[in-house]
Amino acid sequence: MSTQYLPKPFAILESFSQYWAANTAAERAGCRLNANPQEREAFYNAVNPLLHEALAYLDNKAPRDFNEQEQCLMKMLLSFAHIALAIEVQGPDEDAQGTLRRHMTITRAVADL
Amino acid sequence: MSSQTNKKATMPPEEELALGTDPIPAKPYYCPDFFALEREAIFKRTWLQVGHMSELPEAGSFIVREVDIANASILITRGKDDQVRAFHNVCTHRGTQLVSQKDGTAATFTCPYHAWTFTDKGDLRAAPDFERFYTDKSQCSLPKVSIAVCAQLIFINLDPTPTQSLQEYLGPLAAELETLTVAHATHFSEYVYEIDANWKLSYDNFQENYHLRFIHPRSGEAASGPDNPFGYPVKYGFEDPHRTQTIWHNPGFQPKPTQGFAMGKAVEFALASGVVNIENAKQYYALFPNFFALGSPTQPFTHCIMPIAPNKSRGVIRIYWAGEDQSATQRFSREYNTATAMDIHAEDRSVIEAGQRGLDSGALKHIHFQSQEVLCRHLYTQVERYVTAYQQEQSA
Repeated sequence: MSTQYLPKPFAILESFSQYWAANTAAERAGCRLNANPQEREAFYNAVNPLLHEALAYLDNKAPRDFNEQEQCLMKMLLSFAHIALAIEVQGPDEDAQGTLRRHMTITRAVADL
Repeated sequence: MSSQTNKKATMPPEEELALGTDPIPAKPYYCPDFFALEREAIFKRTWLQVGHMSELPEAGSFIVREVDIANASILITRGKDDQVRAFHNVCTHRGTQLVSQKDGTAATFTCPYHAWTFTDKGDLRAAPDFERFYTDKSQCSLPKVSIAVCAQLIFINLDPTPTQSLQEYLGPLAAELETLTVAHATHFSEYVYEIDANWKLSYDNFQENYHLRFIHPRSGEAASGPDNPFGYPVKYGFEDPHRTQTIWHNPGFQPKPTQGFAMGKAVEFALASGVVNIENAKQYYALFPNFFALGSPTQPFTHCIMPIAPNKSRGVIRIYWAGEDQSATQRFSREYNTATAMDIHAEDRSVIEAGQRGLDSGALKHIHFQSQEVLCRHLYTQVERYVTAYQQEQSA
């Protein structure tokens, strides 16, 4: 598979990058809010088996030294942090919980600096 | 339930603290006149937490904070001499708000109206055609606001001559705050919310655990369980006008896979940083009037509830971190734990607003606090004490 946005070992996740590699924590929270249950589940199922491998891959460098593809992978993994909460913790309550979460505004995140 | 929790449940501390057990009047939670009294008696003369030193990283850094209840905008500067100062953000010519940015770096501040220019020490440095005024520059400095720092947290006091220093005000809690992550933090994440509710009603939600099992059935599993179905604290502490609780942890809590990973890593990173005092990990500090800090190394958050109107407030929640992200795993862990805290806080907001709608109707003369809502009772008694003292001063 040819890769454009992600490091080669994670090319299998390429189709998710367009939507889920969001730039800021506020945008990633928005991705969670605006995805439907099928989209959330598909993303979770694709990334979950690769989470530890992907983090170990990225841990070889400090975040400030990431190239564009590594940054893209990092952003996807950060979106996974939000989606893991939706799937693993909120489960069937996720959509109802989302209506409450819409009133919270992320104004700053350490990953965005 | 543990014996300690049982003891708290059957031996409420109200009597020994002289807090009483009577119902609490409902009116102070919605009445505009009482809100106006709180403005003068509390918010214009106690220490208010408004920022963190990491927001002023170098000489020349500044931040601006709005204190809505006092209609005040506060300019906080770190001067070339490294001194941190606070001023009313008001040009002394004709009152124009001087700085419109929320933060930045500047050696001087120039009023957009007639270009009066002030130094970071608040002195008027230059004003066009100043010779035509009937005053001199020494009379035109920015109005100073009292400022002090504890645990890197910036506090201001709108009383020009505070009756207590910040250290005196915080008492023994000042030393405890210095052991928390916030005291060593260089970075933070932040989320905010607006809420149609009185500041006390909002604040009370976050200092009682009675609601956990009903409002946080999924996100609150770590804080309640079969041994302690309501997740009541292990211990309460009272350092008037402040209070603390020691949070109970459910020993049977089974974290979800990503949750366990992210929280475990957060503990690992916190311990490796060498700045976390794990002894205070379960301590939850409620500083009068409107500020919380949690000792947890995985979610070291602060929560400030700013009053805006009798039935409107703003919550500002920050998760503080020592050092920038060193690795992808650390970055992941921080994002996960911040999102977790936000999930929990989001679940509280709408039920607090529902409470305000009920109180606004005036249908209730009183509200009731049970023994494990003693921190809410304590807040009300402190508010009442400050308001009564103010009224007595005014009538003297």
